[in-house]
Amino acid sequence: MANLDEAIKTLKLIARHSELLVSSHLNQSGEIPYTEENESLIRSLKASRLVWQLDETESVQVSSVLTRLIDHSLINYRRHVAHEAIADLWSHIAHLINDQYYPAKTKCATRDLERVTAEIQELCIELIEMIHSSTIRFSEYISSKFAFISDIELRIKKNEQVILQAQRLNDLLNTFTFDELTVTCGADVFLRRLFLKTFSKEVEKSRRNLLNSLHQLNDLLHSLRESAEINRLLELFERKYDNDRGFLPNIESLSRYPVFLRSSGRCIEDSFVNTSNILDEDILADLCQNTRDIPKAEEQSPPVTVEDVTEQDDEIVEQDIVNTMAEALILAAQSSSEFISALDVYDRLENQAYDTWLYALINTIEALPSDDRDSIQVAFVEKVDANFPNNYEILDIKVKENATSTI
Amino acid sequence: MSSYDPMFSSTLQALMSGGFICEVSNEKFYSYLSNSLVQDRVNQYLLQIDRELAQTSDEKAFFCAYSDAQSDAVQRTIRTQFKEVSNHLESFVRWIRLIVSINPAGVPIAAGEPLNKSTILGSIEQTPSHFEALKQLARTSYFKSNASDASGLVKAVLSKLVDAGYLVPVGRGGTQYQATAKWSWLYDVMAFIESHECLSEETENLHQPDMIDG
Repeated sequence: MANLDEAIKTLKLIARHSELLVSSHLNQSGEIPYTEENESLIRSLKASRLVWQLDETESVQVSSVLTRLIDHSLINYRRHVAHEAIADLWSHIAHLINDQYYPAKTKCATRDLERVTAEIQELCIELIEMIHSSTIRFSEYISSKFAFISDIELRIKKNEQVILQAQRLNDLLNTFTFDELTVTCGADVFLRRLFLKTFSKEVEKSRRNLLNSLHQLNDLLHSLRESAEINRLLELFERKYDNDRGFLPNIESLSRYPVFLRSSGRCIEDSFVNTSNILDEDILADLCQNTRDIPKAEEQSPPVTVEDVTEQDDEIVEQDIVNTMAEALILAAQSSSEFISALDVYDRLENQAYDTWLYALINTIEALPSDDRDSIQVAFVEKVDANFPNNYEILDIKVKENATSTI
Repeated sequence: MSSYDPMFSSTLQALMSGGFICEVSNEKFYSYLSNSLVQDRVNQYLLQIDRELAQTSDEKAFFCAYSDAQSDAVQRTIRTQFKEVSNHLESFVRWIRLIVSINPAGVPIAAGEPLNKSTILGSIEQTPSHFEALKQLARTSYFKSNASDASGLVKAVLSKLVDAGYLVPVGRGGTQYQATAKWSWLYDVMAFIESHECLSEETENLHQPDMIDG
């Protein structure tokens, strides 16, 4: 519990003096001015090991632990001003090389050279990290598509701002040219390995990512502008339909039409197979195998319950009057030496077509057993068709007993 | 003698069937038609039958268009088609506005955009005004639905849009759809109507304060 209390006490102390701590980190390189009013605060911070001071005459510095914490909380701010931070850091490295590294090397001051070398290495890594994180944030915008802003017009504005930031960063990265780096490094092996090999490779990678992000941001902006334009159009039409019920645009006055109005619709019909093509006979035969449709109704019809109908009343099916008359005519003809005219009999039929009567008679005669068929003689009264001379129109059928029959 | 080219044949038949070819409706044909050499070849064929290969203004869809609209018969066809679109345009406008208000990103339906039936339904069931708008929309002569519940209404609207080539179902669940580039064509037509009917000027005039004041 004691540990817990101590941690909570420390965090509360940081919270109580957060403004001063952040301000000293941002504006005074982590230095807290030693004033009378800060005295008790400095004492408390020292007790919690959040600040350090070499001796009473030196300034009070915020500890590295606290610096890292503040740094972490300021990541978004740092990203926004990344291009400035990158430029500052690069300028710092360049000064370090010119003011400390080269002089130390010239003087063969080994310890100073080791310290400066380590510092340059660390700053170079920090610079690479800074460039990397600055480019990464643009891909975050792309994946979110600025969806955190609900209004499409504001989203367009934000997109434009981000494109500007990306362009500025790209301009900055373009300044890290091979020539500039060569001048900075001279013939020094360590610097050439660090900047011409490691650093330039990482910068190039980040630049590629940034260009890709810029391209996608521009696409996104284009698509957002298109969406905004369509939204405007939709609102316009909605208002029009609200104000003018039954609004119907027309193009009667036009003599030329834009291409999207000239859509031809369907202009192709299904073709028929050329069945006379002998080369395709085998293929057609295969295709025809499965073309016959089995009616689904037959397949799916429910089983029919068979009822016992033996107990039910007989159903009498009445014979068709035409067939009855035809049979009667034939029966009469079998014992008549005179022709009986179908036309005469037709007069006794009511509501029947003459053609139907003639067909029924002929069909009945044709259906007779051969002996009965031989017992009658059939004569047709016909006339030649006016248009087709080989065809005859039947006017009447006459039937009488066949005198030559053996029956 | 030129030989039979299955890809050319299938693509042309799809075009001549009155379809809009885009990445969503038919990725294979769209990619084939994106080649300028193929476009020339297709045009050479189509020009012989008074047709040409056309694209929407955003170049997201290909379709077959009359190359010369001077004959009376073609003009009659064009006017009939335009009347058909005009008659149902209000239904489309109301539907897209409904989707825009449901969509948290506030963007209109565009080629490639996914449409989820459950998302639409969820929003409509939660917002009475959306449900009311949908009911009115579904009763229009274009959608013609007699369904009484939100699910039936949404289903009817989506099915109609699939039949008309504006949406393509994704998967077999019947809940996921993707918009085709036929919307691009509709937006082109709307932009044309806006300028032809001077709708913007009309609206500006409506919003102008009365300048003639005694």
